[in-house]
Amino acid sequence: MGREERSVFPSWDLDALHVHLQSAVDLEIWTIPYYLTAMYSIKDPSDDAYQLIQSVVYEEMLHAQLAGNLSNAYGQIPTVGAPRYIGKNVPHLCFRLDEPNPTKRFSPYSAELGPLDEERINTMCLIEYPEWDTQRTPDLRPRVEEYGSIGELYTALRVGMTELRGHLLGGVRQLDFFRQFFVDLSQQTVTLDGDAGLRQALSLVDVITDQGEGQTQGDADIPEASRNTADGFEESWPHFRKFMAIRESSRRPATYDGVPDPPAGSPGYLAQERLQEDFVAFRRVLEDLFSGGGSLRFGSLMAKLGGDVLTCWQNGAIPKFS
Amino acid sequence: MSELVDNVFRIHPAIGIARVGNSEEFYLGPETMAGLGNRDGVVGGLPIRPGTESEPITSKELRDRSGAMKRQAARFKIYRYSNQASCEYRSGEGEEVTIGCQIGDKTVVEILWAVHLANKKAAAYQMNGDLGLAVYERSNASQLHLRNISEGTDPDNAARLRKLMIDPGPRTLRGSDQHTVRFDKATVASFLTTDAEIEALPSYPKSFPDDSYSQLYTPVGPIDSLGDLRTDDSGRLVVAGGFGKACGRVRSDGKPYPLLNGAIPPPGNVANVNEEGWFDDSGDGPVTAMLVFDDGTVQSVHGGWVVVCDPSFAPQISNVVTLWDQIYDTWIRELDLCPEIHRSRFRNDYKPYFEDALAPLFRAVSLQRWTANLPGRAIQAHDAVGAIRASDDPADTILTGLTYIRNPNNPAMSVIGPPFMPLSAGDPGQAFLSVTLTQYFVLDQWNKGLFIRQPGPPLGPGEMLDQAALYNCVGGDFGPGLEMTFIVKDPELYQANWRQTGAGPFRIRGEELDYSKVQASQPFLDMGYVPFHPPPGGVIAAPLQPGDISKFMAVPWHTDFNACATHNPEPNPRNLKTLYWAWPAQRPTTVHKASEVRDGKLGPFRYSVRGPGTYSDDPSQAGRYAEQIDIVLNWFRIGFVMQGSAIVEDVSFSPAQFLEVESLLDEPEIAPWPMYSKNLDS
Repeated sequence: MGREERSVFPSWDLDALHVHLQSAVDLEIWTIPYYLTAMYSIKDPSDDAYQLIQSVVYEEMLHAQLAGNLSNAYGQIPTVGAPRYIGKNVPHLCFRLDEPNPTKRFSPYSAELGPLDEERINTMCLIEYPEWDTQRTPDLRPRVEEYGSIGELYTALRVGMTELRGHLLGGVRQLDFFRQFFVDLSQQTVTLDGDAGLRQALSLVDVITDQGEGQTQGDADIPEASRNTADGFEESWPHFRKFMAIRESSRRPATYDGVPDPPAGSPGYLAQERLQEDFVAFRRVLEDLFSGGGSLRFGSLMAKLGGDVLTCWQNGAIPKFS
Repeated sequence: MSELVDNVFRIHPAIGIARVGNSEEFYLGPETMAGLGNRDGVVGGLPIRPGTESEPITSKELRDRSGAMKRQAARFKIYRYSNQASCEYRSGEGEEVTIGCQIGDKTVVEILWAVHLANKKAAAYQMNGDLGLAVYERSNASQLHLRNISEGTDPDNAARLRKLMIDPGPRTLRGSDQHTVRFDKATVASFLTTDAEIEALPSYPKSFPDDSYSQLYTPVGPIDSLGDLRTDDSGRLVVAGGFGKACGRVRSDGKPYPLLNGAIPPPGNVANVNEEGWFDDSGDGPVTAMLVFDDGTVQSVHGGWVVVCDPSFAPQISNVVTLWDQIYDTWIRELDLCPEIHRSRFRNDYKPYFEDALAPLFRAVSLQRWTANLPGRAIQAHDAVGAIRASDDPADTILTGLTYIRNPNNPAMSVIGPPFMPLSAGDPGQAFLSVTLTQYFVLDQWNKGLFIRQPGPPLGPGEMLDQAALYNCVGGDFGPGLEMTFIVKDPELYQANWRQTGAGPFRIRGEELDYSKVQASQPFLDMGYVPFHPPPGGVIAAPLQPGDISKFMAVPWHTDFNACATHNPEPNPRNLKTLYWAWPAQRPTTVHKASEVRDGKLGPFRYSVRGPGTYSDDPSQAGRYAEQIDIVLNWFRIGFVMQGSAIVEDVSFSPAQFLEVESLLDEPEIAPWPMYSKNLDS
């Protein structure tokens, strides 16, 4: 829970909820290129670090879908903007607001894309840093940047979603891509209205927080129902534990080297260009899906993005998404 | 004679594939590669209508009038090569030799053919599911166990061999003959002498199961033939195999040996590939020929081999790793097939031809959806692979970086599942299948931009037959597979001196069978080829006898075919319950029925093997018979997957769809992958 106290907090309204839901989508989307970049920097895909990050990426994709479903259930079609990877700025999170301030432990860190190194693994731990349960109802923060952890953001969202459940409509542009991969999950969509729909919506938040972001029970196992049943790795481990395992490992896997700005026309430069083009297309596909479209390119574009990232590394360039 | 001295004659395909059916009728095996090419809107891989050069069959020719499944016969042709071309692969040469054909100043007046089929499965060693080929290494001798040890533990014991081998003996046929020669009890065995004489062997020690066992369980009739031979109007040989029969010995309590499932002792052995007490009527053996000229002279021909095996229920669907890929890989790396590609190591300056080396693989990827229940996103990705063209920059394709290709150079990858491809069960000891080292090398060169966009020099017509026959077969999981198994990775399986002899590549190193030594009281064949086990005084493994290829396959083939729809990974250290496919191109797991297509829209997935006896709420047990005996009774009722343009019905179908037709089974509905076993494979 954040340590910064405020005497007056605004009350929830639909606009605030929409901002928060969009922020959740933004944050989930932001993590995917960051993690993919670190993952594909690992030369040996059979390395545990690679497998651990990959399993987190899969769950982040699920989270993006779930956050999108929540947003649509509350009447807002989420957008997919171009994420920025600058300095130490993970969007919508201010780590120093969390108590205790985890950046003291996980330094140095950087929000810039790069290979799996100390800065990146620290950042990954920070992103997934658990929100230790204080049993306190979180306050709505007028600026979503002021949440100290993803957990706090989602805890606040629960309050807003509950207060505004009258606005909730089931069956609106709900995506259900991953049902067979999390086969024990009872719910990945919001199909009902009102209180019944709220219960479904809150269960979607539970999945996100159970799997890692905003764990509120410390380092607890992911409940069986929320585990990847098809293509995961250490399926019971929440994200923070997975990243801590990489961080604490005595052996850091061999990674590719790369530069952020390779010479124009070089293979690395061209690979970056392709990645950026494909990522634009991918964002459009996601927006199409979130808005109820039937894009048939998600599977192929998602796979192509992975290939683009690896190709950047293979050509000595740090991947660049936008 | 000088004309002949300047030439080399070879039988093609070097290894021909025949498949069982329960009909007397047959069609000819495909001479085109599955999923490739386009003839009047129909892609390759379809069998050929008998009596035609290359007319593909339609869906109405899969069964005979009674509904029985036709056999797939292997057609063998003879080709002439110049001496100069004979020591090269891909010479582009090869001219077919038929009766009446003029070679220099001579005319071919007759072609004499000889074939010797046998089935040694019951006498052979157990297939070890953990070790595969490695079980034959000396260091694993303690894990090498015979099948049917109730008949003795000495593999060379003559009485044991005679009881457990099915050996009708050799058969001969003149190309000008118009009759059928059967591998049955009644037909007198005969062989070709070196003088091109056909010599009868009335005392050949034929052996069929009921010769040694007075009581047999024969649920679909006794095994009384391994097939038959005939020739066509040009004197080519057509070998049709057995009828898909299986029979079991009867135990002392009067009951047949049960057909079991799952693990059996000792560790590594699985019942459904090593069924105690059972026989089937598949087989294999050498195919030899001699040319007779109008001046009375004769000419020997480098021989081939025929393998009789399971049916292939989706003939136009190719595997990502085919039997051709495996054999080619062995020849590239071990037998000096193409020094420009590999000489002690892969050559980094080699540029593969896209259409030859890459397009088939990409096409195969895109076809997997028709026999495996891939989810929609995976189909999108697979289609994107299939859409890759020679003109594409690899970096613009979904395979850029080879991001999703399981690297066979990294053994640790064999236990890493999706998103790495192929998404199929692996060979013994490997959880997942990998492309071959040669395939990966070629992919890597392509990924680096080192490839040739223009078509390469064409194969000779005989070479094309070699490739097509093997391309339409399974290249893994070799546990054991359907047509040939892991022995194809043993370079000692082949004629290594192919350049010196002019035999050409891919030929089996067969034993020179001396039929003058036939004794009525002794089995003519013995244990034969055992990998890494030289005979006394030998340096390499014994050459192959009839039956020495099929003996490594499941006995009876039916039970493994039934069980190998899907598997949990094996080994499975993380206890994953996710199921993966075994051989969906030959043994479809799921299909879309042609009869359920509406306005061009596909119906749901259906299990290929379905109906009474197959229902289970556990996907690891669904799509197959719970009781193994049921596959023996029903295998021929399974439907075939064919391209829409090859389906003859009242309505027409899209050539872009590959749909099930001619099934005589019922159906439940299936959700897309992934699906899960209720329990782990034990």
